[in-house]
Amino acid sequence: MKKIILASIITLASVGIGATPAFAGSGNTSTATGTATATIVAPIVLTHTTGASLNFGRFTTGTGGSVTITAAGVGSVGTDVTFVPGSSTSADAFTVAGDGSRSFGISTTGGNVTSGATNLAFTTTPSATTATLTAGGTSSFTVGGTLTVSGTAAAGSYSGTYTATVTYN
Amino acid sequence: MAGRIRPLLIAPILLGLAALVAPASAFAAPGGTATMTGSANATIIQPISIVAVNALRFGNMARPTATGTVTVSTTGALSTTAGMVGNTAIAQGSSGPQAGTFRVTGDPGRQFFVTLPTSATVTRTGASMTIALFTVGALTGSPVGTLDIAVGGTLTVSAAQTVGTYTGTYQVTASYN
Repeated sequence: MKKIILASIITLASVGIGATPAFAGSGNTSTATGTATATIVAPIVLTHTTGASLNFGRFTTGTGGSVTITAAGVGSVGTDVTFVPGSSTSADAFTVAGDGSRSFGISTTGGNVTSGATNLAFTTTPSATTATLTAGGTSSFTVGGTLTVSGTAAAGSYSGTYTATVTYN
Repeated sequence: MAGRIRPLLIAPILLGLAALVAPASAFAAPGGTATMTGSANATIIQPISIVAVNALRFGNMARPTATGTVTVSTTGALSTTAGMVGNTAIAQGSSGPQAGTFRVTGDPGRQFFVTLPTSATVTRTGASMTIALFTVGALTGSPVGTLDIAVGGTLTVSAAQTVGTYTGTYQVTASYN
């Protein structure tokens, strides 16, 4: 008698559980779906414009001084340095490609121009230190600088390099 | 909840007793009445439940020039290797990296375990990436009401990875022992 009653109770209890939607499944297990996301954006690419250069022009040193080129390419001299007639100056130019509408930073180093054993130091200044790529993912900037000229620098053609870096903000 | 009978279930159980006891008594010896008292116990426990709370997000990253990985820890901290070094240091907007989280709810004190797949795949049109999933600590325990589980992952990004937003899903299951 006792066993029969217990069996019936279990059966009824099971029916009760099964009929209750909240207990669908066994109730012993539950599964959730997690979501994962990641976004890859186009890398930022800096390209030096072919033929462009930071050109400090042709000048006489006098007792020394400086030559400054704005990021727009306009030259000026300081102290005893004088441009010679026909001298032309220019700012350097770069193009940038990357993720549309994304902001980026621009940094440039200084450097030295060299002729023989003589080095003349220069600093550079980009046209902007931050910029934003167009919706199409392009941008550009220019670089000016200031060259320090010693009064003892030998006549000659001086050249050198510097480094420009762009970084996504 | 443990040790208590849900009120809704009391009625069916009592009916069952009555239905069985009554016919059985018809076979009792004539001229007498015999009564037996049976005991019945039922313990209904709270079903285990796991729900997803936060998505596992790797955020924005620049495509590398060589294959690398990005790892989001279970606390949401970001780390990178190989070609991905530095590539996550970009503006994240409103969807920066975060750990995935789930909440387990169950019968207080009852042992349970959670199964997490070892990997997940995120896709976009024509491309996919694989995430190695991990969590911290034992995936077993006795929730006191609720227990939160954090999921981290390591995403592998190749140099040829198509630019775009990738999404995917993975299934996490909690079960009573």
